[in-house]
This record gives sequence, C-alpha cells and structure tokens, in this order.
Amino acid sequence: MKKRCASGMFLGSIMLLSILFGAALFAPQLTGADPREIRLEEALLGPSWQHPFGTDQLGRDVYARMLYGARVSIAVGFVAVGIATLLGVLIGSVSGYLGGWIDTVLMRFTDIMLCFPTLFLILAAIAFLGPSIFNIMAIIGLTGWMGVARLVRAEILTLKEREFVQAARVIGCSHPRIILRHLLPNAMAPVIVSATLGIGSAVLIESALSFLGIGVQPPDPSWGNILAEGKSTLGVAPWLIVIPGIAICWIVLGFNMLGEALRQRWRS
Amino acid sequence: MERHLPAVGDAYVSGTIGEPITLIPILASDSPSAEVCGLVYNGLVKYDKDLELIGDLADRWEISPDGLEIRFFLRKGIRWHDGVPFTAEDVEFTYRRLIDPAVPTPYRGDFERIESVKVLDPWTLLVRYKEPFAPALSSWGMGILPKHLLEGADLMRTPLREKPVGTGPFRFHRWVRGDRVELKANPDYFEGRPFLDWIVLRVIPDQGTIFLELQVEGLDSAGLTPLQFSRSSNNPRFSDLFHKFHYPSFGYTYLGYNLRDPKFRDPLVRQALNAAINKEEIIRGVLLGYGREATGPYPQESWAFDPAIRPAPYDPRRAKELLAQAGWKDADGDGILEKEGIPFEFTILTNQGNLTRELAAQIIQQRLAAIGIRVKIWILEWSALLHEFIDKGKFEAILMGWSLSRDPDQFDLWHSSKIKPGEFNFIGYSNPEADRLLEEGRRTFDPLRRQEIYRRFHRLLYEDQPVCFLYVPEALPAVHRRFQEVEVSAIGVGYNLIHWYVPSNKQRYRMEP
Amino acid sequence: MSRYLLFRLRSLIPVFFGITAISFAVMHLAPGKPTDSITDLNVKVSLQAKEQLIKLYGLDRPVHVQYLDWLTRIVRGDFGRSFKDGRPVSAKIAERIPLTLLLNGLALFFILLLSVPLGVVSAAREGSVFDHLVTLFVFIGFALPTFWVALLAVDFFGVKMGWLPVSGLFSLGADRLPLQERIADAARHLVLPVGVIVFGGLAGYSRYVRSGMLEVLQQDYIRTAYAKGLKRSEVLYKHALRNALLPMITVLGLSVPGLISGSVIFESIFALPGMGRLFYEAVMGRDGPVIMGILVIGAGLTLLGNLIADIAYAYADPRIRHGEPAS
Repeated sequence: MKKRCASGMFLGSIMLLSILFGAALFAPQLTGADPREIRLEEALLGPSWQHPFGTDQLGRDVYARMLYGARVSIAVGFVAVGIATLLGVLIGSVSGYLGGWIDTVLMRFTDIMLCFPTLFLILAAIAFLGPSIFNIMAIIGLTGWMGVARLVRAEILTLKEREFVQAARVIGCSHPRIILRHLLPNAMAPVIVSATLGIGSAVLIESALSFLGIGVQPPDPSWGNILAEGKSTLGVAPWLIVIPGIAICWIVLGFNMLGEALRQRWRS
Repeated sequence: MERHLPAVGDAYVSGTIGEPITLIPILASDSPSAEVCGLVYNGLVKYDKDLELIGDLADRWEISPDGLEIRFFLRKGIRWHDGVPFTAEDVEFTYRRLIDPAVPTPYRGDFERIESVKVLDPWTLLVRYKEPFAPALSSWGMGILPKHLLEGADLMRTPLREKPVGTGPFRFHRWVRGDRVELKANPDYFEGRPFLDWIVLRVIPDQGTIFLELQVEGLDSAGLTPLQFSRSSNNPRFSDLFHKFHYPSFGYTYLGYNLRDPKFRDPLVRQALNAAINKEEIIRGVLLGYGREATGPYPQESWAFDPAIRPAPYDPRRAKELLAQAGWKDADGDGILEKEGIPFEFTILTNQGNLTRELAAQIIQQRLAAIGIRVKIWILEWSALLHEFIDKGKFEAILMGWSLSRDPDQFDLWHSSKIKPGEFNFIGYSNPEADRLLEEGRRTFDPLRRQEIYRRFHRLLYEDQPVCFLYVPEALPAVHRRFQEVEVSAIGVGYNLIHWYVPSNKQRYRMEP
Repeated sequence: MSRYLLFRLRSLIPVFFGITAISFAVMHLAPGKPTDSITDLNVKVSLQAKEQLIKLYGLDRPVHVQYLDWLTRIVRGDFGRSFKDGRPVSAKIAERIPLTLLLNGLALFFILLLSVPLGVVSAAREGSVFDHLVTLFVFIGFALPTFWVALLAVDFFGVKMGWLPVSGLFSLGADRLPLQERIADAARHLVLPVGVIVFGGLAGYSRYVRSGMLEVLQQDYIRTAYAKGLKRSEVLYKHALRNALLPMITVLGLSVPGLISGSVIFESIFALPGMGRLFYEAVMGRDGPVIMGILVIGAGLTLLGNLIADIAYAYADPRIRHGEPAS
C-alpha cells in the first residue's frame, strides 16, 4: 500500500517535471515570439490564440516569457542546489570523518550560518557583487548548504564505524579515497532527497528576490519578475499574476513530490 | 454641483509608502516627514496656488535695493501649539540651528549665504546676505522651530522629533509607529480653524495595497500609478467615490551620462542618443500619456521654461548619421557600432522599486539596439546605487529623476564646482558658459532679466545635451468626493487643506478632537 | 543534567561571537552607506548632511574599533541608536516585536490545532482517499509563494467580497471603542494575515505529525495495545500520539526565531509594522545598529530555541543526558 502511494507520487512528479523541462528545453520550438520584443501597441492584451497567456505592460508575449523564464527558474534551482550540495557534502564529510577540533570548528561555523537570516546575507551579497542571474544562483547556494552539511556529517559518523570502512583503513586506503569511494556513496540517498527538496525552495527564493526587484535583471524574463509586474497590474491583467504563480507552484510541487517519493522508496 | 454649508468635523485619511523619519522640519528630507511638518509648522513665506510667494508667519517684507537685506515684519498674536507666543526670537533660533555644524541638516546651503540675522523687535527681523542671492526669499519657507522648547536641546535626541509643537493648522496628536500619524485641528490657527477635525497619515509600504485600501475607502486619497489611474480605477464604483486629478509634477526624469567617459564626451554622440530615444513612446507606453516630453531642466509651469524650444523628433536615421560623423560605424557587421575597435555598449543603472523607470529603461534599450548600441540594465537598491556607483562616478549611464524647487536656481546640479563625490553634479558637467549663467542667475533680482538668463540656460542645456531629458511625469491623485473645495493647482491638490470640509450628512468619522 | 546544560551554554558563546563578528564584517563589506530611501533626489536637499551623521556616529573609524566599541556597549545592554532617526534601537525593536509575536504565535496555535488531527487521521488511514487529499493539499500549500497567496486573498476577501479589512491592525477611531469591540476590530484585521501564514505552515507540521505517527504505529507496544482490546481512538490519541509528537519538540524549538523574524513582503502587503519590515528597511538604509540589534536578538532566540529543544530531548531520552553529549 505504501509502495503504491510512493510510486503514484513518483509518477506524478515525473509528469509535472517532464512537462516543465520540455517547455524550457523546447522554448524556441514552442513559440515563435521573442520574449524580449517590446510592442507597445499590444500592451496588456488578455489571453488569445495569438498570445495564449496574454501580453505584459510592454506588449511582450507572456507565453514566450514564461517558457524562457522556465529556463531561468530551472537553472537557478539546479545551480544553487548544486553549489549548496557540493559545499555541504564537503564540509559535512570532512567534519564527520576527521572529527576532533576540525569537526568542532566546522560545526560551530555551520551553527553560525544557520543563525543568519538568509535575506540579510543575500541582500548584502547582491549589493556587493551586483545583481545578475549567476550571482543570485551562487548566493542562494552559498547560504543554503548548512542542512546538507549536518545531514552528511551524521551519516558519516554512523558509517565510519562499520566494518567495510575499518577494513578499507586497514588495507591502507587514503582518507580522500575512503571518503569518496566508501563513505559518500553510502550516504548519498538522504543527500539526494534533501537536494531535490532544496530545488523547490531555491526557486521560491529567486521568485521572492525578483519580486522585490533585486533578482533577475530586465529584460530577461523570470517567473518572479513577471509576478512582480503582475502585482502592479492587479485587477487589470490577472493573467500576469495567476500564470507565474501557478508555474512556481508547479515546479516546487514537482520537486517536492519527487523528493518525498525518493525518501519513501529508500526508506523501505 | 450641489452646494453645502461648510461644516466642521470628519477626518481625512491619506496613505504614504514610507514612514516619516523625523518631525523636525530642518532635518526632514523625506516626503512623508515633509508632509506632516508642512501641516504642523509654518515658514515665514509660502507659495500660493499661482506659484507666487506670499506671507505665512511673516505679514510682509521689504528687500533692500541692492538685494542684500530682507526685513521681515511678522504677524502678531500667533501662538505655538502649547500656548507660548511666537516671536522673531524663534526665527533667529531656527537660523542658528540651520548653520550649526553639529546639526545634520540638508538645507544648510541656502542659509550659509547669510551674513547676519538680527532681531529688531519681537516682530521685526533683519536678514543680511553676504552677496545678492535671488533664491533667498523662497528659502524662508523653511518651518520655524519653537525656541522655548528646543533651546540647548540636541536636535537628534529631542522628544520633539516624535511629538512636534508648531504653529500650523494641525496639532500633533499621536504617532503609532510603523502604522500612522494622527493630527487634530488647531482651534487657534491664525488663519482660522480648519474644518476637518483630523488628518491621518497611514503608512502602507506597498503601492498595490494602497490602491486596494482606496477601493474599500480605507483611505481618502492616494497618488495613483498611471495604470491605476487610466485602467484599474476606470469603473463607475470608483468614479462615484473619488475625484481623480492630474497635473504635472515639479520635476523630471532623465538619462544621465557619465561625462568623464570618452564615449559620452562627444556632443554629437549625446545628440544622436537624444534623436534615437523615442520619448513620446515612453510617455505613451509607460506613463500611458500622463506626462510630457522634457526639453530641459524646467517643467512647463516654471517661468524659466523657454516655450520656443521644441523637442527633437524621434529620428533613428539622423541618430545613425550623427554617430557616423562622430566615428561610430559598424565595421565588422555584427550589428554593433564600433570606434577604433571598441564596440558601443553601456549599462544603464536605475533604482529598485520604481517600475516606471525600469520599463522606460527597457524601451530605451530596444531603441538603441536598433541603431547598433548594446545596452545592459542594472536595477540596484538605492543605497548601493547612490554611494557605490553615483558618488564614486562608477557608472556609464543612469536613469533617475530630480524633484525641483520652484525657484529655477540649479547651481548645485550643473555648476562645474559641484562635481565632488556626494555633490549633485555627479555626471561631471562642466561648461564655462553654463557656469556663467548659473552664477549670474542667482545674483539677479529683476524678474525679467532673471527669466532671460534661465531661458538661455535652458537652451544651452538643450543643445549641449549633458543628459537626455526624458519626461515630466504627472502627479495622479485621487481624493474622496465627500470633501468639498478640493481643487488642483500648480502646487498640487492639498494646498488649501484648511478650507476643505465635509457636509455634515456625509461625514464618515465622528471623533471629537 | 546541570553539567550537560553548562556544556551546551558554553558552546553557545563562540557562536554568539561568531555571528556578531561576521555580521559586522558583512555590514562593512556591503557597499553603500546609511541613506534615506528617497529615490527622487531633491535640488534643495543636499546629501552632505549624511556625511555629518557618519562622523557623528563614528563610522569613519576602523571596523575592529567599531566592533569592540559595539561589543562593550552590547554587554551592558545598550544597543545604540538608529542611524536613520536617532531613536534607541531597543525601543524600535520593542515596538515591533509584540505584533510579530502575536501574529506568529496565533498562527502557530492554529497550525498545531489543525495539523495534529490532520496528521493523525491521515496516518491512521494511510493510503485512503482522505490521506491522498490531505497530502495533495499540504504539498500545494507548501509550494505556493506566501506573498502570492496573500495578494490574491486580500484582493478577493478584502476588495471583491468586502468581508474583511484590507490592511493595518485597527480601524480609525478604534481606540475610542469599548474593549470588546476593539478586540473584535483587531481580530477582523488579523484574519487574513494569520490565515495566510497558517495555510503556508500547515504543510510542514502535518507532515511531521503524519510521519511520526506512521513510525510509532509500527511499534510493538501499539500492537500490544490493540491486542489488549483498547479502542482505536484511545490507542491513537493516548498512546501513539504522545510518542509521535516527540520529534515535534525539535521542530517547535527551531521555530522560535521564526516567531519574531517576520517576512518583509508579507508585512508590506498587509501594511503590518512587524520585524520583517524593520529589518528590510534597516538593511536597505544600511542602518547598522538596527541590523546588529535584530541579528543579536535573532541569534539569541535561535540558540535559545536549540537549547530548549536539546533540554527537552534530554529529558525525554535519558541516553543523551548521561552519555557524551552529541554536539
């Protein structure tokens, strides 16, 4: 019974995500419109055959902007989580494997980072580096590794006392080799789950930043900045707020369901 | 329209995005603070609806023929909100604070030109200037502080920052932090008690929420965005509840170039950009028609504006010719112009939180791309933009706005002595002819002579194009219909607030002051 | 136990110093200076007054000197004064905390009230239609951006239907009403903001309860309880729930800082003067003392939350109390 539920969730998430990835990948094939082309005489038109999702204040095709915006959201999700996971795995495994004062220092540092409001670090870093898609991805990643680090450390702590690790040590494997070949592969399952769930929250953070106007820079489309524009046209152009909202929900839902399904599968 | 007898009572609730910072008028530089200070305090003079200076706390004044002395004769019988009489001592005290180096006031500039302020008797004051200074009189619109409450106090710490005591038509009642400021009618106001009992300024940080509150009558007035003005509020329900007004704001939006950058040093390039940017399209597309093309540093309402200057037509072909003359050609056929192998590309910086500017920047970007110039846009938060980029001269182009004073003296914006970090000529404009006109303008008192000087200055800037003047946006307020005597003037809607009233059968709020 | 507590407390000290030192450094690295948020420069309003302020507050001294100065004052409980308006930081924070606490406290109460039964029932009927529906609802609630829900809710319930106030905390003149009506007035203003937080937060908690219950339900003692012939509801709510809620202690402990941190976008939409807006405005205006004050309080609460969770856990699980503490 439990299996069925998990596989239903798995299939559902795969469906949601493949539609999304398809849209992002085949954006140029799915629309002939240029997401940046301004046509003031077509501003704020409702959904129609020509503009399935209507147009925005500058007369740009929202359907095209959503498709190309999907690329931004997906890229932000993956790169940010990639950075966070890499850092988290590195810090967590070093900390857990070596132990001692290195462990203490690294874990205190993790505690410190956890205490910071992420928004403060992000705003400070954007003010410092300037806003660009890459900086935003990097910053979200650099402020999101703490959970992974703790997770990996805990896994490593339990694994390193197991026989196969002891055996590897006895036959003289180097530390990096033990970590990379023996410990990490066995600790990967929870990391992958947490990374999958992390993609959803990275997308939400990007949308909030773009909503505040310090995220993805114009004229590049992102779901967050389409939504921000939608807020100012509330009541006149509901499509500008409803469509990106649903899209954000869609991607977050997809990754969260995938993460949950993976978690259930690996646990049983 | 039906007429009613003026009735006392009711409250007027308006919204503001930011919370006031301080209610000491000589320290207040943000508009919510200035709005509250304007109702609680008075200056010696003020502008009337036709932009003429008239007496406020001053009954009349005399200016000496050489322009060096102003003698103010103050109104008698005025009392501070705590009952203490107002005298010339208060004016002299305010002046002392304005020039005190320990007081961080942004208004010191105008008062540093004063040589002395003498109290001749409790109602007569003699101000002497070091040199003739034409904007002198208008600078005395500054709110006057109560000496008896602030003598010896630290202006940065005094309780009056939060509980002001002035001479104005409304008395301070209370300030609910982050939420609202409440003022009540001053029954002893020297021009007569205002009809309205209460003025409430609500802090609502989101422009969208302000408009929603307006629709449910949670606010009685608010400034609208062009889209809200022309589309969202275009329904019978809204029109039944609110009057909408539109009038040109006293300021302009511009694309400023860093004139230290070799690209922009060439006037031909700046003229080409002016021809390539379609301002009419920005006004239509972004302001939805609620704005006018700017041709120079003065809005049309200013007497310094030269009506003979016509905006240059949008002409991308001419722009390309001018650029070619200046040496910018697309030699390698990649669609981008080059000169000596360097492609023509630059970044426009603008501040976060101003959708109008963001959209205008994108329209400019598209138009310049069409003539072979690659533009990037960076939206930066205000503190970083101002201190890291503008102050330090680390920018190529900026899209910004100026709000202007009624007096046309713009010495601080364009004079070549004002280019140090933190000063206002941050684009680095330096033109001897402009310097000369600016110096002469502030020395000249004769209105006709002065007008001629500033019109020449206007023409000079238009031809030189140190910035690309884009547009003068319109202010778009909506005011609840129950208020009578509301009218729009050159200085806005609320100038005659003390005459507004609500007929007793239409009053919404019944709270005795 | 007291030894364990001491150990935990001692380990908090370096964390506290780390947080404040890094904050200080980040604040000074971040470009920009104390600024008002006026974005239309005014011809007559010079910016040099701010330079004076910078001198006045000693911002031109080296960072480490400023940090030490700040530390010595903070030890004495002096948070300093805001660069923006010269008011004491402690006063500024004190007037914002009650609202944020009220808002999030109420929300947490309703979240627990709803999520416990939701979680228990969907665990008890794992795989049923009800369980699937709850799962779906919870996942969607989790995936929707809070500010988006807030915006739509205000527009619909506040403007279109006119059922609830759009923003703010009380109506004009409410302070003249009798107490009862004043409370009713505030309650009406709180429905939308609290409702939106509850909708967003329900997901996490009900998942915790559900998975906790699922784990407990497999244990032997539950089967024993059933075998003894106890009623189903008795088993679920009396025996299982108690143990299933244990992991919630940690979650609740970790949510302590969230109770006061607030959210900018959310508070702006509802025009509520909470901590989120204060912090955002302070960061945007580079109002150092306010930023530091909020970070210190936030860090203090986070650590406190961790500590409480640890202690509660140690109480519940004697192995931790006596053994070597796992950091």
